[in-house]
Amino acid sequence: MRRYLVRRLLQIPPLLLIVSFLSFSIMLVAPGGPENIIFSGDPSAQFDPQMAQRLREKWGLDDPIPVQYARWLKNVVTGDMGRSFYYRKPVATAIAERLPNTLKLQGVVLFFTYLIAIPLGIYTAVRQYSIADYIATTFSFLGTAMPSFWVGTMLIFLVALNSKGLIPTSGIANYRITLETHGLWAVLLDRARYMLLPTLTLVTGSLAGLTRYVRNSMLEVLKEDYIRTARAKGLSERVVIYRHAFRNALIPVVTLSSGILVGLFSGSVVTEQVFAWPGLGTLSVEAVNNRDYQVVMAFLLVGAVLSIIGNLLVDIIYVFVDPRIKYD
Amino acid sequence: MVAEPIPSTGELQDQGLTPLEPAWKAVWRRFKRNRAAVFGLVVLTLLYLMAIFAPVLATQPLEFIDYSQKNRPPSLEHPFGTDQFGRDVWSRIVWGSRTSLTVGFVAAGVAVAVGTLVGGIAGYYGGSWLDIILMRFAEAVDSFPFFFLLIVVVSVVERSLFTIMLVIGLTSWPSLAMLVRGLVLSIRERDFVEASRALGASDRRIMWKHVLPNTVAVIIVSATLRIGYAILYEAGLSFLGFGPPPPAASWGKDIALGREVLRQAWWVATFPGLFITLTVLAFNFVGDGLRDALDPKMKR
Repeated sequence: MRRYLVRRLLQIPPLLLIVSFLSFSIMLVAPGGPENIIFSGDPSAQFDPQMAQRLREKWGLDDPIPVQYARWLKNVVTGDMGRSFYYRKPVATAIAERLPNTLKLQGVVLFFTYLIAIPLGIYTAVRQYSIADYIATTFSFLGTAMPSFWVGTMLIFLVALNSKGLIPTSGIANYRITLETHGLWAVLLDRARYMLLPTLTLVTGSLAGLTRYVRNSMLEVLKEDYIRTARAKGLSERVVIYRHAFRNALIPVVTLSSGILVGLFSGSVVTEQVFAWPGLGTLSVEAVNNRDYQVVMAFLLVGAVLSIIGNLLVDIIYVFVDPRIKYD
Repeated sequence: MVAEPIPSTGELQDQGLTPLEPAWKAVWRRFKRNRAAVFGLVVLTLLYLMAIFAPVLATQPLEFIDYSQKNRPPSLEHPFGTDQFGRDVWSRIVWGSRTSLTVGFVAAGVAVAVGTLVGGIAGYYGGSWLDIILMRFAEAVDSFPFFFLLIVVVSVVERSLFTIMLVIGLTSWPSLAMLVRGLVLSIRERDFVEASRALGASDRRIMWKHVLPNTVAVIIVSATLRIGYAILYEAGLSFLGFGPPPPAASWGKDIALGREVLRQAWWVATFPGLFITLTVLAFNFVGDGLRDALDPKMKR
């Protein structure tokens, strides 16, 4: 097991190297190259060769690419992710400002997804081929097939536009309602109104996969010998399912949770856009639209690093939650 | 599964007395039994016919604008109404089916080609430095937030229908490569491969004759499901304004346009979405049906 973990950890440095270089190379392949990007931050330089040369030197664009890459990497590692030309502030600041909004939405979505998917998956597995199972299965298929931006749009049309202003179509809060003027409950209610439709949209999309996964995992477990043994011992069905089957059925679900970390960060590009949710998903699309490449590079790198960490954590957790697996 | 019905004499003859039933026939027999899969196949056939006969089915040419009849509700003349440019929504859907189906097919094809090649080579040279390099690269590509990577790459290339298909394919191959690699590694260890090796077969022959044919079922299933996903990606890209440029019609772009007139003309955004859902659903049904039919042991 230790050897497995060491080998697993040794995979990380080369992975980080490739990921960081791929993130960096976006700058190189950008239309017009890096200079164009610098010019967009300082348009006057475009018509002034001397100033352009000064900028080239200032940003080190005459250096060989490996040198530029190393410099960028060094800066990133020390926490300096560059400046956003569009927002005219450090990339880290731009990200930090939007992060709470995405965390809030994704956190709530995650909570409801697991809250619904796990019991539903277990129930539909225990009652396989029941009406509830068919309904859940149908809904699962629909949930994966419907584009989220369409679901969001339909919710706006069906719910928000018919709610007489109760449910907003976009945004995150009515900032006139504050803790000082209206109190805690009014604030919570107001924020919940804004969160309702984006949450519904995202849960619809993510529920399907997780429910089916839990259901299939539970079906596998229910076929195991130790379940038959437990039943043969005369244990009640309740104990068999919740004590013996349930816990083992949840082990594979750990695998599916490797994306949580990166999901919390990168948010949902499309759904945030639909509801004009001012989170990181929206920021990342703005960055691409405005050719704000320092932000784009930071997003690619941080997203990838978080997903690598997520995968690693899952692999480590797996070693401990599933003693049946032999690691050489 | 439900208990199998007791076979009739005829079926017994089919199964018992003709042991050399061709493989595809057995697959079709199992596939037919899956109602959702058959439904999916019918829907897909209709959709492809729709794309092929688009000029006949569409009541308006692709680049048509007539502001005098904008935002008309569904009627006999315009079954799905008209949009803010006076375009018939049904005609838009018909033209859009060409984009969706082409993108889905080609993007999935690219992903399958690259994924099978990389996964095959990595598995074939399993444990070597080549395997390690290829897999680290696949994992690296796979670790980026997928949809964001997609719009970033689309934004730096010359945007056309072709490049978008290519980009979707080239960003989504890693998961298939890892799948194929795992399969190749496990098949390599099987007895029949060992036997063939003992008889002096070359590595190349083993690869082409024994290993790859045994991965085909998994690849076909994955390819089918991937077409559906690629269609969703294209729709999402088009919705955000990163889709194929005009004149290509796109369901995703039409939903984005429909959002602008959601209050006055709900039908503009609603119907293209129904067609995306139906198409992706059909590919998923057929993919799942194929999975069960190609290899009854290969359960999710």
